[in-house]
Amino acid sequence: MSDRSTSFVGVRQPAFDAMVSGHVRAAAQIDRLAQALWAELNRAQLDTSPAIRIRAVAGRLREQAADLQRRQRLVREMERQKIGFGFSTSQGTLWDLPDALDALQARIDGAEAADLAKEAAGGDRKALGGLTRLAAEANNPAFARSLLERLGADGVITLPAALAQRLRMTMDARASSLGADEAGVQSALKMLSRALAVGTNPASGGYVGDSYLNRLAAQGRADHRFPKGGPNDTYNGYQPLATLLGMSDGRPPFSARFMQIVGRDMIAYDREHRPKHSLPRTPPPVAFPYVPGTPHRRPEDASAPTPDLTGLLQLGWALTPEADRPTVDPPSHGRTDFLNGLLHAAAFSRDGSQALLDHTPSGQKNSDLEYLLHERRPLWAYTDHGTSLGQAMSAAMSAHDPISQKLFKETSELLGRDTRKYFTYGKDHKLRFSNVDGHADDLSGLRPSLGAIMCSHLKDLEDSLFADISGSELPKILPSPRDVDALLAEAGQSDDGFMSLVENAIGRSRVLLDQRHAEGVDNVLIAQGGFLGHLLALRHEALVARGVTVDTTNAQIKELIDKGVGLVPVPYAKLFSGVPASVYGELAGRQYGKVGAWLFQHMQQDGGSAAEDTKVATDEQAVRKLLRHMSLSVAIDRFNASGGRASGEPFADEKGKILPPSRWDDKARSRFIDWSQDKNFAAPQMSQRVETVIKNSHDDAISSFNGTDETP
Amino acid sequence: MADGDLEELTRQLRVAVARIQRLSDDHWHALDPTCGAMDADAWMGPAGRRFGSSVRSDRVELRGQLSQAVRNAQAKLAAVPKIS
Repeated sequence: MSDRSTSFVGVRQPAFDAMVSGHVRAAAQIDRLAQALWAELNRAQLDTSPAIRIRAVAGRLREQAADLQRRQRLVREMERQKIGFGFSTSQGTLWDLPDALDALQARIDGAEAADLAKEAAGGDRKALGGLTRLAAEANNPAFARSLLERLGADGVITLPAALAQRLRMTMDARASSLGADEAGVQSALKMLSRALAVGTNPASGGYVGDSYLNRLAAQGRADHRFPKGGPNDTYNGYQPLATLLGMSDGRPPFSARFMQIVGRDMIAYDREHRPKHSLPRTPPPVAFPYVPGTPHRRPEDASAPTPDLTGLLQLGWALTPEADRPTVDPPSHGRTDFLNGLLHAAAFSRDGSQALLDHTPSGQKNSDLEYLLHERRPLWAYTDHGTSLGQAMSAAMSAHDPISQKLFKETSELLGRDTRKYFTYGKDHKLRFSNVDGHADDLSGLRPSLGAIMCSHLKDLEDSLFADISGSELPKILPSPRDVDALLAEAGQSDDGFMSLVENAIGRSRVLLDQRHAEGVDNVLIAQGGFLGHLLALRHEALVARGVTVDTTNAQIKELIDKGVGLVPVPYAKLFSGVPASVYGELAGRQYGKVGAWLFQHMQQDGGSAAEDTKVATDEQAVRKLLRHMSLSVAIDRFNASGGRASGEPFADEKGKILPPSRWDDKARSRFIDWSQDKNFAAPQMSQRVETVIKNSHDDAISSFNGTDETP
Repeated sequence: MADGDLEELTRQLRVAVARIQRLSDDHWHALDPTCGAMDADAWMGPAGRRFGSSVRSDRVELRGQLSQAVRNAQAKLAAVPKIS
């Protein structure tokens, strides 16, 4: 047995039981020994320290005995509940047990939770209540594994369906217990959802194994029947699983392994069952209202997406945690899409979302991403218009690892092509919009996420748009300029998407000017000015083409620029407190947005006094003014930092340092112009190249939509 | 010291040595069943191994202290002046 004893963790019965009782007895004996020995030594006036040392031994043995007894009670509980398997050997039965006592307890609790859940699904309200006591343990790997193993892969599918049907019956009966049942079922399903995330993660310490995941996928594909019967009472296993996934709060997220085995198969299942006919321009209203007692696998026509339990049983908000409810009323006429639950769960981690989206099934020509974004486009209009798809994409593509870059490039090609289907180039240098197939806005919910993804790839976008100006070749991994412009038009149609792009771009401009002033800022100004030009132009033209004449978001941004958002020095030390100054040079990604957000907020709170010149009218004027302001502000910072003084001037403080221009009054402003001429203060000039790029940005952006897409 | 006192002291110490020896003999093997069970893999795994080595070192300690007590008592008995 010695080779086994190095790897096996557990006990041998009945030897363990015998050892525990023997040890408990020994501990008591030695305790009495210590007392008796002390009495003898003391009476004989001998040194009592041996007795005192033996008392210490007895103390240790007592503690060990207590630990052994706790362990023994748990082992007996496991034997009683038939948790785990003992296997027989010639020298007794071996029981596999977790080493730590709390893990042992968690394993018992996990099995108890599984049993309570089954009883609850059978209608036992007390069991449902008992589950809430154990819900907090779902994060414990031993608990999760025990629960999942006890339920089995089929139980993970059938349990949520049975609980949901119970809830439906309570609703139909208009029973007063509805509120309690709703809370109980929600809590039970959240526990199962979390345990599933923990137990299917190979790194969690409670991994149930690949074979379990394969069984789960097989059960997901299979048809099941609701326990309470009735005609037409079958459902597909992925429907309840989608409900569980939709209840995830990302603590912890589902693993990449789960997404590889189960997640990808859910998409494969969807691809196999997608509607054979082209979908209507707008989804029809729900065709079949809910009729008690007759659940439908697809409550409407065959063109609608496969619903999860909420859609299937018309449960309204009953299974949606309160914090996840975006509106008062269930959206989309109570329609749901089983892929939304999957995408919601995938969106909590980069690993998981990449495992899901970076995949082309064998035997398929097109990747899953192409399927989701392009072929499935009309189906998203039935539910959230691609909101959860966008969130999963954002998680998968917002970094700069090779997979993020590759997926972003693929997205730019797919969405670029589809966007150019609806937006075309007009000879008057305007965009034309035509909703040729009625599906232009099917992915409107994806636009804010698309904006967020682009925000984290600002450098890539600039490199793509202006590679030719800087004379370098466009790396293959970057989106083409044409696709970048299409994405800007698509994302820019959402106020949120547009606003976050502007905020990030302005923050990035300021950071780059602050960082690179020493080496000359011409290239920075070209890229920043040009990019902002494209961004504003495409927002404007896309809205105008769609007949929107008032753009309050754009007006807001122009107002901020007029007020002098470019003149405000950024307090990096305060914004990034605790980060050493040398690291500002590495600012990237989300931090640009932080700078931009600070600038915007600062301007909105403090107003700014820059009523200096006329208000900007065009987007190009706005960009030019912003960059001029920023350049001036940066030049003043440099003047102050290099020890320059303008003592006694109205635009300087008492030490002679030039104040931020955002704090100048009219007198200071006009005096500054004279002063800078007198002192030859190098107020930065925009080079002709920068002027040209900004001037041309509008027409450049629009002409990206010229020409047709070759069909692949 | 009077011979009678010496005699009484010697007698008491002889009793004490015998009793202490008896305690030692009675408890010398108290932890053997546990150690034997652990040698026979009654409980396997890291926690079990920690328990096993702790019990074994406690057995060493127990026997060391018992021996010490017996030796101390015998030494004191030997140091009592013999009655001439």
